[in-house]
Amino acid sequence: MAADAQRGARADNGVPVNGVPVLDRMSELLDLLEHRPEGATIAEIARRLAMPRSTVYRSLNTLAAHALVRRLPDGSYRLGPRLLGLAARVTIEADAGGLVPLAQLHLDRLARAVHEVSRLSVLSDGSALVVAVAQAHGEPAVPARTGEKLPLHASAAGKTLLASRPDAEIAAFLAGPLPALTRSTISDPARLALELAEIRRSGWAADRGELVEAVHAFAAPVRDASGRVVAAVSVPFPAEAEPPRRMRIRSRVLIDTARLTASLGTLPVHAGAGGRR
Amino acid sequence: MSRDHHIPAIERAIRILALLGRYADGLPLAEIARETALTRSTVYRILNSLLAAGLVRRTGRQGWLALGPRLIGLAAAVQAGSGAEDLLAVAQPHLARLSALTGEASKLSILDEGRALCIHAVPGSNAYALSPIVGESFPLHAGAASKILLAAMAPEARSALMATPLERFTDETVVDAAALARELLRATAEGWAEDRGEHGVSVSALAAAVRDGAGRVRASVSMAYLRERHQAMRDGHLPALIDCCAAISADLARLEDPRAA
Repeated sequence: MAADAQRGARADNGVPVNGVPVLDRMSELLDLLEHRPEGATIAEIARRLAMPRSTVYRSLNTLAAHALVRRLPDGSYRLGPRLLGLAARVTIEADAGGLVPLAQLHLDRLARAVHEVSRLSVLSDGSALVVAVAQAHGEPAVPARTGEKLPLHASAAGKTLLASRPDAEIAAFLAGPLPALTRSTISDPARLALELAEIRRSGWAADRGELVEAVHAFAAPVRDASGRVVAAVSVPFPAEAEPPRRMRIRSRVLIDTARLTASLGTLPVHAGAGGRR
Repeated sequence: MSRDHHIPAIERAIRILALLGRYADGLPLAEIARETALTRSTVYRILNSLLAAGLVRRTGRQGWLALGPRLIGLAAAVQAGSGAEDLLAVAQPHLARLSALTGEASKLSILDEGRALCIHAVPGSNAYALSPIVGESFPLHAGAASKILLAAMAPEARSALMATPLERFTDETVVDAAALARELLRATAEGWAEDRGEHGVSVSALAAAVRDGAGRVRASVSMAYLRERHQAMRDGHLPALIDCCAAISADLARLEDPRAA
């Protein structure tokens, strides 16, 4: 599969071929700690991951020596501050240095207002790459996580980003395959072209079950001070949402994205992002 | 700590991640092997696992690798666990404005395990602007933000820290406890602190305090720049820095006020 080719070869059980097993376990350990902000003990990690305690202990020790995890006074472990530094050095092709941390505030506010997750995506390698997420309080109907890749032709964020590209680039994209992922996916290039024109005109996009039948979404473009689209904010929600709720989600997406764009007006966005180097 | 209690493969993986952290555009595998002094086959196998974990990604250039987006999710969890989420949310737009206004880098630091930890930074835009590193921490006796945080510590903890030998980093580092105490008093009275190259010879900084609704110091906003700009920064941009901290403090107080909810 294309996504796997992107990440590296894997066997059927999801374990990378020609990897280092103890690093695969380290990744699981980081995963576990990511979901335990209050910390986890060695015994608990060993039990949950079915790993020998000595391996857990030595892994945590190694990670702690580099501040990737931190040992708390009560003997439990949490993710450590070094991750902040590494994350700050992650560049995404279209990332506008500082966009992600600034966006988080707006994503959080949006998620709180609509009781759904909100996401920030940028154009990367022919997909809409989710670079920041705000979780909904209560029970989110639709899960979302950073690193997820949404197809450009079959997601609200993807269509928003695609619509912002120059005409020649859109024409080249429309000439390629547009796989029908659900009955609602727009796989006809002429129809998708009309849809993109409408998105440019209205300033927002909708996903009507085009990626996953049961999930709809609204998205709006984030612009830098020069007016260039640098990202998209989107909110996915259950397909069965009633019209008043849909309208509320759409208006909140538009309002909070406009606020993010306004705050970007004060942020020097590095030019040259988005292009292939 | 004995090496027996470590896992060499994880040590090597961290070395690779740290290396890639210095090259935003990524590096080819051969270069990673050379820089880390590991064999290509070792690097290849480590990268396979790091790629699968999303800690590393392939770049648009054939055979090049860079830090991966999974780190962004992990860092978000660190912030969520730091208890500083409200502070970060409130402070970010103010720091962005401060840096846009002055062209210099700005950063937000909190007291963390006896050091000043940078939890957010905005790079400067002028030709000689510095780029502070989020996640980096500094000793409390050397640096502008450090001194703001040290001055605000509980008196017993501060005295204990100042009773230990103060490490010298440059000729400007204040290593005399009495002189440092005088400087902290001045910083508290005037509401700002300066670094005249106390940690890095060529780097100076200005800092002021962010307070919560009860008036307690929660964090420090500082601006670091090349030392020769120090006088110009003090004359030109110190008021903007102090205003920035006051605005963040006011927003924090509003956030804590139940009547404003």
